[in-house]
Amino acid sequence: MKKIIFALSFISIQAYIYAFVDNSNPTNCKECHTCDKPSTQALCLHPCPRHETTNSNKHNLSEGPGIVFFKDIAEHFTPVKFDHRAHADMSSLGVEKCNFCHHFTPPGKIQPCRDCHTKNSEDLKRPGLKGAYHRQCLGCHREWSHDNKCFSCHENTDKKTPVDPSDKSDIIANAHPKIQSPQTLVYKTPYRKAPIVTFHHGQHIKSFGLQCVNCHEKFTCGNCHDSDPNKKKKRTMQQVHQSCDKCHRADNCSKCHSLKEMAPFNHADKGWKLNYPHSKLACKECHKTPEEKPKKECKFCHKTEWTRQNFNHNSTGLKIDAAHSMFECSYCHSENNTFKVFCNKCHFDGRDPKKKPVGEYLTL
Amino acid sequence: MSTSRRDFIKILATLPLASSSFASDGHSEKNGDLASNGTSYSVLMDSTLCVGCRKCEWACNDKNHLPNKDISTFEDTSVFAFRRRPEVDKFTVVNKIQSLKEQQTIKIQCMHCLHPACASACIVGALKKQECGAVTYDADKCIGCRYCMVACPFQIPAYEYKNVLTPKVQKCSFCVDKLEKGEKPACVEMCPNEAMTFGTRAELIEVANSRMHQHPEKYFHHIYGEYEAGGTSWLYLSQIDLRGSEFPQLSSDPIPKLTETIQHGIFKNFVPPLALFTLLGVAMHSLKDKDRD
Ligand code: SF4
Ligand code: SF4
Ligand code: SF4
Repeated sequence: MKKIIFALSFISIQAYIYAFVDNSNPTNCKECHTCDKPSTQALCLHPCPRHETTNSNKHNLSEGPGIVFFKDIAEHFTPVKFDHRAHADMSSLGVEKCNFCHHFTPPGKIQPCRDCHTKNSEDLKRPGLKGAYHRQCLGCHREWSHDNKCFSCHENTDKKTPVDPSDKSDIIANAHPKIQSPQTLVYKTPYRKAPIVTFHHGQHIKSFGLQCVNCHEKFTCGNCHDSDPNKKKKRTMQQVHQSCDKCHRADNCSKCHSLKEMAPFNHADKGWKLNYPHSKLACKECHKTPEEKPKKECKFCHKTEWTRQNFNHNSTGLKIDAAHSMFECSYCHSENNTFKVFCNKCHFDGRDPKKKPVGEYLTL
Repeated sequence: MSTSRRDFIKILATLPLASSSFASDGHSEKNGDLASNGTSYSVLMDSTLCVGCRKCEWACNDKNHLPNKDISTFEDTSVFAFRRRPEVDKFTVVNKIQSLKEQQTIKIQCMHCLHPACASACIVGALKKQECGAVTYDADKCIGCRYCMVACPFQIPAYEYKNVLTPKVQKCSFCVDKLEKGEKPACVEMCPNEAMTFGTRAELIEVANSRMHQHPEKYFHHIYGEYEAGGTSWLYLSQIDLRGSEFPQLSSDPIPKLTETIQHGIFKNFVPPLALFTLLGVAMHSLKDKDRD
């Protein structure tokens, strides 16, 4: 009786395995196993069973975890926070897809690395857990980041060393070789009335002090490094406008759309030509909100109570000679509008510092 | 001075007396056993897996109480501009493989030869090949003659010239104290990429062969150290031929055979000092004549 039960269960197990195996391509046990009778206790796998027949699981990308912490072997460095989702998103890149990392997935749940790659591996032909992790990551990371920095992934546990201040979530800016960020992008849109949209990318970064991630949220490597560019997802009208809408009101099409390429924003068009040092500032340093219109008064931003003693007039590009430096500020400037200068209190020939030759210091 | 010393050795070597009576020296036979049975410990350094993080240097300094810096400073790759050598305060260094355009690195330390030339050259037996595979140094025996430095084909032993009172020869010890405790060498333990595999020599040669067999595109088909200089305990795999590039081109004959027979013979079989001095006299006399010519 026992024998029959045994035989039956053996047959059913075989049938179960058979169901998972693609019979068009007969499997050779020796491709994965080194011994004749592998069992669950002794899988006797080849060191790296990187073979399509070793992968019978077909999972959906969204089933995978978002963030995974690798903390089994943290010794000198902190555990690694691994963005599984971002990496899974790249699985479309190569021919191996998920199997590029999960190179051995028998039917059932996905095997974690440590099931085969043990911490203190006795098998010299199979990398231990530390080697398996590092080889898997560094294989690609070194290729494109061209460095061997541990801190790209780890943080230092040693408190003496300053923690790398760079924002690890900003993959493009921190872990990637420098990207030549485009200055101006000109899009041709299907909007017939005004098809051209000029996007001054460089100016946006500079004027608004932006980080890549501020706009390129949820941007994964797959976005750029896609093996099949034709596969680009079609974006809806709303998705296309999303990034701009965050700041620009969507109701005014002509703000962005026009018939020809638009010139970059120039502060002078708003009636205030910015000179050094104000020309170097990011917008938000004066305009706390996009609507805020600062008054043309030094006091509006500068909290220092300036007097002729503590103000270095040279910084404005206008050197004051000894004769003029005797005057209090208000003698030449209006109380409420510092930019307004009255020369005509003394000089009646219509002179004005604004008419100074461009690019030169003017001495009064 | 050094030429005359070499000439002297040459003359000695020609003496049939020396080679015949000392050929049965026990020491060299013991080393031969270690080489052939393959059970001594070895390390297989696969330079294709080395990422040049230099953490092995940090671990070695840490383990051997050598002057060390913060671990993060070892990420400095500017050191790869030059080919460095192990020194008194650095038993191991990671170098860029110079003949390759892309950055590929290799770790260098004492090779722990199966027939160590350094040990043979040492007239007082301060350097010794141990059963476990390590070539160890005993500072108490060392008389500071530095013959080992001249003899080593890999230019490994370094001498503490700056230490005036108790100068020592310094080199990688294969972390022999750790090996005896059943642990791996510090550098091997540290390597994040497991570029180094620790095991018995026979096992590692098999591992190396299977790697070359599985990825013929990745490796130059040669295990450096399998036969070089009669075999070494540290074995190397690389994508290039290391012979004549990162390491010297050596024949499979153990380098020390000649010097070993003579030197160990003299000291082991206790040749009476008188005989030695007579020999010396003859040798010096002939050299003197040569100089006059
Ligand atoms: S620790 Fe390993 S990977 Fe890093 S430099 Fe040393 S041998 Fe190479
Ligand atoms: S490499 Fe040099 S120092 Fe090391 S065992 Fe061989 S001969 Fe001796
Ligand atoms: S075996 Fe020990 S002494 Fe030799 S290089 Fe490695 S850590 Fe240093």
